[in-house]
Amino acid sequence: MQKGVIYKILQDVYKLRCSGVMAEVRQRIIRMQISLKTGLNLNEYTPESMDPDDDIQRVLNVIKGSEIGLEHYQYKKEGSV
Amino acid sequence: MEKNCIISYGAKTIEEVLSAIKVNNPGFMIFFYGAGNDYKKIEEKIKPLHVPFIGCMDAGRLVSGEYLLDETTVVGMSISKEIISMIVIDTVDLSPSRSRDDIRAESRMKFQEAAQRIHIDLNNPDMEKDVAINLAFGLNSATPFLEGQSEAGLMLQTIGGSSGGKTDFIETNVISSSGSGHVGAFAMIHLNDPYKFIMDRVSSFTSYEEKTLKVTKLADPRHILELNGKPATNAYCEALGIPLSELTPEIFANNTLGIDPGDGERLITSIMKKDDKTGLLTYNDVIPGTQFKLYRTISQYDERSRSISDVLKNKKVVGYISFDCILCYIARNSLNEVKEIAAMYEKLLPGIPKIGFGTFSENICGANINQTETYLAIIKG
Repeated sequence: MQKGVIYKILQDVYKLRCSGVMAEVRQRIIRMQISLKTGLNLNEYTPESMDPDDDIQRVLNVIKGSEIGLEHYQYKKEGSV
Repeated sequence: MEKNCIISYGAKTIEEVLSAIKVNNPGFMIFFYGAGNDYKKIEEKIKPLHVPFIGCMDAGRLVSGEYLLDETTVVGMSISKEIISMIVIDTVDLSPSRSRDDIRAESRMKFQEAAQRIHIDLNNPDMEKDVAINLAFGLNSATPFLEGQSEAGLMLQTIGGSSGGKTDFIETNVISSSGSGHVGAFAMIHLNDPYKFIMDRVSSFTSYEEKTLKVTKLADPRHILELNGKPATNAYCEALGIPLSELTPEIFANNTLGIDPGDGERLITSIMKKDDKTGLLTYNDVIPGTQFKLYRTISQYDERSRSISDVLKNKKVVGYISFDCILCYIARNSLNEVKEIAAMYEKLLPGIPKIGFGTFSENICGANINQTETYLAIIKG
């Protein structure tokens, strides 16, 4: 269990993949894709949530996959990537 | 002006529909037809017009302010080249005999080729003008078809549904200007200035608080054996507080499964029925470890009216295409809400051409879902 990790990873993904025009639409697509591929309710992960290691790994596997394409992403507590 | 650019109409024959939806310089047409129609005959009448088109069999259809629930009528919408700048129609073979990997690979390739032909950058599409409409063969999973598209270009927004038909789930089909039958057809479109699109989804459910059902054992992607480490039927009944003997189609329709990607979004997976033991069969694919929430139905009228009017508020809508679950059609029938909800669309979008059909599943941006309406609104400015 680690605190707030999935929330932080999602913020990183949005920053890397959803900037610029129509950022909200891009975020929506990414959120749906991660939920579909992990089966997780992403609304439950907050800066304070205690996130199971298995859930963290599921999210990491999806964002490193071909659709989202962050194969070199590494989670860091502060200022990742 | 838009009245000459986009027209929808419903009638007893395809000939009547084609006669009524003539626009200047037609650029794209879409059709939905009842299960009593021979799709090859419909296709034969449309093809000589040499206009790109897609269409499918359905389980009921929407046209303007009316639902047509018979098995014979046809509805069509024609959109002119003033709105459609560029378009490619193509199909993927979704025959049940094909492997999921083969379908996914063909879908990815066809999507990439289509984008190249009309110069859409799949890595950076125009988020307001580039869109793909999907009609998938409804008796096979649409998931690999959609996965192939997401692999080709996640950010190109897609919307649509799986073809419907009678509730015996024996026959359905898709037609298009690039093939028909057991196919998934897509229309990849770039809109002209000043036209844009908006897409969204609405499902009329509210969450049961604190009730999560984790998929702990699957027989196949549409067959759940265990939830929360218990036989699936037992865990589902426990969560609802009902005995096993009360498991009926109505219970499944009114108490559904889903996941929440955030911001109130809901990706619904409906339960079709129980198996002959203690498992549950679903209408779309499930992955191991999915942490389903349990949702109960609320009024379609209230939720749709609120959601659609919020999204389309202050927008000049010129056309509306709806992909609406067969289970929503059935629920409206059983609650005698058919006329009321059809009238709601006319009230929200008065005089705007509308078309839609009852699907065997709905899709939006790669997600294959149930008990939901996904829709595409074309707007001006």
